[in-house]
Amino acid sequence: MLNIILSIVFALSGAVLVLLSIIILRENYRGRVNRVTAMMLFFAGIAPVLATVYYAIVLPSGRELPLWVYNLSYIWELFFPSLLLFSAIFPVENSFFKRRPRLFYAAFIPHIVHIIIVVFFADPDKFFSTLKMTSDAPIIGVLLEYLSYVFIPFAVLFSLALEFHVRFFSLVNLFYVIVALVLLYQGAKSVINPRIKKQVKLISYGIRISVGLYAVAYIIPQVFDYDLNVQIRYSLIIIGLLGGPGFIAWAIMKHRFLDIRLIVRQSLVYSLASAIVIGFYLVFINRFGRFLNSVLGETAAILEVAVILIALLFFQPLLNLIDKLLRKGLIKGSADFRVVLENFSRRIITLLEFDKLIKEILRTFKEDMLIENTLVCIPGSKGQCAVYSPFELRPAPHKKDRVLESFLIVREAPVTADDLPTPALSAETRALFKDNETEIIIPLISSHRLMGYIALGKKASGMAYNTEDLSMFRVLANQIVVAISNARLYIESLERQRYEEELALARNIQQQLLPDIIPSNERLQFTAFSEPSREVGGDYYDFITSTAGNQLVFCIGDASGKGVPASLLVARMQAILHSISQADIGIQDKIAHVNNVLFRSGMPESFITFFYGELNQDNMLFKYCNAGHNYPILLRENGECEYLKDGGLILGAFGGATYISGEVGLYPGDLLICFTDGITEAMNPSDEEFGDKRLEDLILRNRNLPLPQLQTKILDNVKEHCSGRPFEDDCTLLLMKVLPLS
Amino acid sequence: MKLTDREEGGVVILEPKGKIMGGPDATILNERLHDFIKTDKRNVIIDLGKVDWMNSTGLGILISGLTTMRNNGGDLKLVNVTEKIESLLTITKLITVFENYDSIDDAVKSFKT
Repeated sequence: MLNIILSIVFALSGAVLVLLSIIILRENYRGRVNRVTAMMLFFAGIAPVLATVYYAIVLPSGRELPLWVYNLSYIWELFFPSLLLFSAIFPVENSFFKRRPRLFYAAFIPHIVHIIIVVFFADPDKFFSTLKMTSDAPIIGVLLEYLSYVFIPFAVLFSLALEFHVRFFSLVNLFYVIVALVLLYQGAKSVINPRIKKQVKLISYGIRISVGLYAVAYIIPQVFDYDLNVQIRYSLIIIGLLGGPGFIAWAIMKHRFLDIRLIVRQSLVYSLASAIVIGFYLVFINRFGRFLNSVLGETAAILEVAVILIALLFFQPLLNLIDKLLRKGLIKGSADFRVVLENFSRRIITLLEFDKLIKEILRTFKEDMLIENTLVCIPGSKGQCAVYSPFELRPAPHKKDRVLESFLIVREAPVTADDLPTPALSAETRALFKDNETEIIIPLISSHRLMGYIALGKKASGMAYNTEDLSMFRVLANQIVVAISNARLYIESLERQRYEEELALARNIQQQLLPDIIPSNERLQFTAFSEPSREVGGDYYDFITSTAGNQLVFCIGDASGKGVPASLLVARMQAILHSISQADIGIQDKIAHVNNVLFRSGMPESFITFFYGELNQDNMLFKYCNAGHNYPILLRENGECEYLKDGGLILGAFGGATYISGEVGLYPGDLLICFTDGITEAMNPSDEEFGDKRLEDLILRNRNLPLPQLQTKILDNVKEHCSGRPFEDDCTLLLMKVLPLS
Repeated sequence: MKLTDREEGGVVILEPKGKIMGGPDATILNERLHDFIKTDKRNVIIDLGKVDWMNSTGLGILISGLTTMRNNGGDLKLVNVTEKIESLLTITKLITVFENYDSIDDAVKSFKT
């Protein structure tokens, strides 16, 4: 019974190793690591399989096979040179072997010779008998007899060598294993990646266990001529053999998800689960059958069928349960790509800081996916592309490569380096990819725009990328795109917030440019209203009371454009105006001066329309200069309208412009209406302006209203015209009324 | 704003269409004018017949264009100015700076004298 279960478990485990070896080879049959790993697993797996064939088929059949057939099974010993080669190239290629590639394969020579010897010279006695050549022919017979005497010493020597060889060849194997362990340790020293370090550790544990078992079972009895039960020895060797490669297989699965396809893992799990269940099943049926036999006697046969049926009913659910448990323990490790994806998306979605996000992406590729040399390239403005690397704190600036970018946009999905239009790429890109040993490029595309791309170097394992990797990168790329978009939105919202704060500050500053106090006395009354369409605006009005006493200066202006640029122009204008308004020169010269200073400091396309007036309150003579501003309306007591046009060109657009001034006398009951085009050009939904005419009529109809009410009336009408929509332009309204003499 | 151009008697005639406002319009016109200067075409006529509206930024664009051409030894003249734009030019007194003509022929001829 034990034999059967052991055989089945061994056979299945061996078969799994052989299967694994075939799949690893298929994965990339050109890859050296693949070839050597496959070879090692194959030879390790073949031994238990052959043993099972012997125990389960040959032995029960009672047939005797020739000795050389048995000895053929020695090919499993090729496991040792394969192990040596494996350790020479994993985790990093040993420089000694790298420089001597032929020596690499020379490791097999002792074993091949060994197998040839044990197969062809399997039976020394038979061999010697063939040496004792005789012939009936008189001369040749004598010659041959003498010749055979010559051969005999050689034959004796050879037989001694054979004896020694069989006894001590296991020491060669031991030597190989020790060298392999040394190489593995040396290789592990140069590895920084913590995951590979763990992997190497696991593999070395496996090898140490198997070498220990091998020594106990084979080497010690051979060398010290000690007889060990064949079955025990056999089991020890097989357990050892399964142990070492088993650990390697485990290490591959546990710490390297990229290189084993999902199907392999599943088939592996399935085989293991089946082996356990079948073993259990056999034991159970056997024991239960015996139990029933002892209790019920002859009727057991029918019941046994029933038991098998019941067992079969439970078999599938049990298999599923074990499959689930194994999967949880074996596959759902931190290296499983689903787990990586899950963790990755959970981490990056909450990362809103751009630099941290990029670092996390780089870290994931390096540590979780074991890819050395990952670059994240994010094209920015001004033809630059920021290249982030795990080895640099700051991104390195590179020139954008338009050819590469448009290629990636067309391809959309991850591409291999072989697919790149390499000759068309810029020299800088080619050098970058060469240094990085780029094998895969993952475009990050969001609604047909290239957000960036990720260039992946070699896998740390040395294995090639497969289609499963590429499809996983596709999923990853989508998540990275979402995360980068989120991070960008966050940055934008932060910037917008800061911008809004700055604008609010600017608005405060601008409000302070407008006069705090609107002058009024027994002869004159003013109201003023100004509202920018945006946070800050380009409209301006001001009152400047003369230090000379009876002179009152007021003005209204409108800078071209809107928002911040216009408001800056206004601020400058106000400074110039205040510095000149008190000068003892003609009003036209003041305006010409303002124009020249503004022109020198500004660009021709930005200008200000400006109306400036000085009222002598002693004689009520009003001097003004209109620099391209909407004509203020002077509504006389008798209902006549005058337009204050005299002046000159808009301010700031042309240097050296000359101006003239106008002069009107003001009388009680006169109404002066100054406004900016925000009032008259206010549009209704059908794109019709409020217009000068409507404004004039409105004022005429309401000119007897008190000034504040008149202002409200005008503004309400304009708002009504716009159907309650916010003003599209800055709006300013300045009203002055000459009060009747009391 | 849409902008087309053609040449007549060694003079470039630009024909904007729609509204001349801020933003990209300024760059479009400016770049076009600089292209003309590079190819030694310094006399430009802007046909405003199909421009239905212009705001202060639009005026700024015209002023900047005029300054550019005059600084390079050329000129920029206006043709087919609509009533609305003419009143804008009058209020701002820009009418004294821009030469404007009723027909393209007149404008082209004016460059010859």
